[in-house]
Amino acid sequence: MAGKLALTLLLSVSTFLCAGALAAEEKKDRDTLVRDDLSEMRDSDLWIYNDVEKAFELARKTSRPLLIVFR
Amino acid sequence: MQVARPQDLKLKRLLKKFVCVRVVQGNSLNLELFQFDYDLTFAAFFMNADRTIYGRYGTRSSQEKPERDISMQGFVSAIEGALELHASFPENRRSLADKQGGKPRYPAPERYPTLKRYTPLLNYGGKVAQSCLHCHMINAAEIELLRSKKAPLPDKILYPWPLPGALGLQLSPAERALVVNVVPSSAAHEAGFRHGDRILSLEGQPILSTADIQWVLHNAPSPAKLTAVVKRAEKTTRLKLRLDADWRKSTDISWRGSTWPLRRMGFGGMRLKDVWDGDRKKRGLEGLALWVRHVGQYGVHRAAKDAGFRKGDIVIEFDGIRERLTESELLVHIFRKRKAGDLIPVKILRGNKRMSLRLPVR
Repeated sequence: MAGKLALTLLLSVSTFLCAGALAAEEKKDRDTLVRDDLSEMRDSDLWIYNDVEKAFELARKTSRPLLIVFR
Repeated sequence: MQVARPQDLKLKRLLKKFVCVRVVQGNSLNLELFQFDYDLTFAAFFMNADRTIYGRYGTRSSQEKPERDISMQGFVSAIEGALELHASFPENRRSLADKQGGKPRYPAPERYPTLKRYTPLLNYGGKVAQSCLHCHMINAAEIELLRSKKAPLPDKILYPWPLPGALGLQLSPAERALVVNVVPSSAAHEAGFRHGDRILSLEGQPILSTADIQWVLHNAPSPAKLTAVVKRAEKTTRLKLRLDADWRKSTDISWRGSTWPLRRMGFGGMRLKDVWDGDRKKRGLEGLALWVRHVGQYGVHRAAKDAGFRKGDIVIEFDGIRERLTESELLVHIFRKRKAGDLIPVKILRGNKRMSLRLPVR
């Protein structure tokens, strides 16, 4: 339950999901889900995927604060 | 199609003011910088580029009902607070210094003996899910290490990240550190907290979320004296909290992933749950009555099975204890009072039959 809410919390800020697509996602094996997640996040213009040092460097250059989400 | 709610749009606008990064692995996690409740499934840090921590977000108190602990509205409120701290930086740097923890035992999780099979990078070309070191494994690895050294488990390990409830405070998940209930006769009540107080700081640290309060509590000694500043009717009030030696004791650890190694070592792989009041009445049970919900079947998880325990048994006496305790409290008793190799006398009910068994502690 907590996991689903947390996922919603994160995904709702980066993309709008089709409920049907989410149900299909749940049927995929875990390896496929992780790889799909990587592909999706790579296309995000808001989120840096799994690279904290890159984020610190960008924050330094732009004087913006960082939001680092562990999920 | 999921419909975007107004707070989602507000969140999206706010996030554009940040550099946002998502971390999906515990592998190679910087344990000195990122100290948070590793049993969470969602946790967030607000930081400056110089690595100063503005605050944390993410709280959990049980396996069910996450809405009791976190909400989109509460997250938005914490983000707004982080932006205020960023605007006041670096003048506020000193008040933020203690948000950073001390030097950890290891710089990265895979340095723990039980986690050495993990590599710093995920194996995206192969079995990527299996290559992922989950954050809850970090707590478990620390417990395993201390136990293997026959070292006592400190309260900070047994009762990590205490909730404000340990003080007698209930906070709104939808607001920034807003008190919605104060338990009578609790430490918070004695300190003078009131319904409607907004906690601005604790031990001098600005508070953005329940997680920020938990950070202070996680690092507080037993007993402890803590100073809080609250906003009440447009005025700020300073309150002094006095916590006794057992203040962490009411913390429920049963939902935590990292409690599983404790169950394996202390309960021989059993999972226990307090028999609910209606069933107690029906069976004539008073005092200790813990239902055996699960018995491990394999390898190191089957010690209770080998000792004769079965799913459905009810533990009515444990190591001489007959008063009503939760699973968490009983686990803590074992790790405070017993050592590996001890045999614990246990009395159970199986149906209507009373039986005596002996449970080995690992």
